[in-house]
Amino acid sequence: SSKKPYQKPSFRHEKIFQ
Amino acid sequence: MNQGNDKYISRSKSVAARMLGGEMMIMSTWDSTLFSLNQTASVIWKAADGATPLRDIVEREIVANFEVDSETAYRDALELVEELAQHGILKIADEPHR
Repeated sequence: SSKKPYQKPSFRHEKIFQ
Repeated sequence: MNQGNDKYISRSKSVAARMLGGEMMIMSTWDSTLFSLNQTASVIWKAADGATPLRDIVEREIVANFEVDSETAYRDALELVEELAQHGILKIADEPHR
């Protein structure tokens, strides 16, 4: 078994916009 | 394979994306928002060609390589793509992109 540990897909985001 | 009601996902053209340290960094040129996807989400993003059913992407890229069952992986993937679509950087369609 060479499967990697599962991590729930997720993301972070930030407005970078004076 | 459940093709009847599957989803097809494609990346928006108004983004710039680069892989950085195992995470996909995506800049939306529409509103200057920077997104950082974790490893699993990055795999889904890279496979979003608009022609491959989401369930196939999940089976081939996630279930085959990570310790997770098909239904959990598909449910999580669907949740992710719906959120990314709300932010306008991913498109979801009922038909493959021609």
